Amino acid sequence: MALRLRSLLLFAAVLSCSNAAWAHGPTPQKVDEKITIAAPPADVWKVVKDFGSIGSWHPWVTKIKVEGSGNETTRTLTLKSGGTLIDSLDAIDDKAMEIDYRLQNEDFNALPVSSYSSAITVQPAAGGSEVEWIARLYRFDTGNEPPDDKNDAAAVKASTAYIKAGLEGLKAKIEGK
Amino acid sequence: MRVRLPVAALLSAIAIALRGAMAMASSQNIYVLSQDDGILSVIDTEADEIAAKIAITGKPAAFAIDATSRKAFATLPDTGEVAVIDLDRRTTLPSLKIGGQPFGIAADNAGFLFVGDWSANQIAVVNETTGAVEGRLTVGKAPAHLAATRDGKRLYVADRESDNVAVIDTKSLKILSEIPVGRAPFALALSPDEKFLAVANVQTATLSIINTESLRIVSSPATGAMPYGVAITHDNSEILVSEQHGGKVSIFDAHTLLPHAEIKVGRYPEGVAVLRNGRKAYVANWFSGSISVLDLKTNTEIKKIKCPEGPRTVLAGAARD
Repeated sequence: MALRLRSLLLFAAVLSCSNAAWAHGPTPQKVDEKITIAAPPADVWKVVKDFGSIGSWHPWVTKIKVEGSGNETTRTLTLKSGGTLIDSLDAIDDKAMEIDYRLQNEDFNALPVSSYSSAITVQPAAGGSEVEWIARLYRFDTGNEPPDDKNDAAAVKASTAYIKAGLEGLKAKIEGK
Repeated sequence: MRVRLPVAALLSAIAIALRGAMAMASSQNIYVLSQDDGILSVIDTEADEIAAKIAITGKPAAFAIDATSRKAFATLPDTGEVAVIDLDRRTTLPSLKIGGQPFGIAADNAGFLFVGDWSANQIAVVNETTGAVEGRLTVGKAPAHLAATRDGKRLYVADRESDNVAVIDTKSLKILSEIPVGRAPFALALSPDEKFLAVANVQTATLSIINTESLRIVSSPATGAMPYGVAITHDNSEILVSEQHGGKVSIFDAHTLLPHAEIKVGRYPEGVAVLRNGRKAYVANWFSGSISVLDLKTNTEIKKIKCPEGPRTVLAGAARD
């Protein structure tokens, strides 16, 4: 029993060491979330491709300001947390039903991330459409000793929550619930 | 006797031809470095399959190959090390502990490495055998990728946060010029004839084409969104650019600097490499965890090879004999 406990402790120690190692290093991180929406892809795409529409479906967004046009469009989102996200549009591909944008600013109060970029795609699926929202990002503090709230795990957790809330909001808006 | 001589000559001629054909056919491997899984994959470019996977401890970001010592050197930003890989034996050797946050790397093919330190804004000159840092030079902010001339006398550095390219004389360790380019230059490629440098500016979505003699920008053609990788064909005629947004590779004519092909690849493509024979190119799809194989005659993707997670840097190198 004592032996088993000791080996368990040793195992835990090894685990925590490897966790610490994981938290280091400026390695780009991935977020990949999907949702099914009961509506034709063309209808979903119409909402998704409108870069300024996010204010009407993302529950975290309290205010939005859209400036510029075409690939020079930026949107400034004020979030419930008080933080600000300034997104700039990169590409809209109607054929692939894909919109790409990237974050221009770094605001810890909005999302603890840096060099963040995102793509949303719409595809036909059983029951209507599938929307996939992916992101490539770095943690907020890209130095070698980031605090817990600025490390890789914190960046991925917050971005996942932001994207999930957005997808659910998009679904609710389009399905009229 | 009258018969033997021509037969012997013929046989040896055949043997030479065969050896030549074999060398040509299997002359190059493609090496792909996957950061998340910490693996250097060796791709057999005949079969277009992964022939070997070499495990590296940690999360290697970028690598360079020393063509003389036939070793690969991969930067480990988290631990301040450079991993050393023997490409013939396909094993790792003890890593070089240089400190800091090493990211971009280039080899001079004569025993020295140039290693960028992302957060200290420095380039270190490192003895590839002992790991001793023999010199340091401060450059602009966030040195990303590096390119050295084959003789190692000159080094080009993309300073991502300073929006310029530093041109360095490696003998005197002095900056010859800091050339302002577009916003967020990350990847760069020196043409095989070393007459021009192509720099991919991530945020402005342009290439800066720099004449390496005048050190002036001769053209800044527009690319797709977020260009993250660049390679030039061995005959200096084409420039390949990977574009993260849109998931494409655009091919520019190096003379007109106009894009003449666009190939859809995987998601968030990054590093690109072209075989010396110009037939195929290989692109690391970072998000998809795959390598796209491109046929450069038809400008199409002919295969996707699943690879370890987080592929970023791709290089072509001579295959072992």
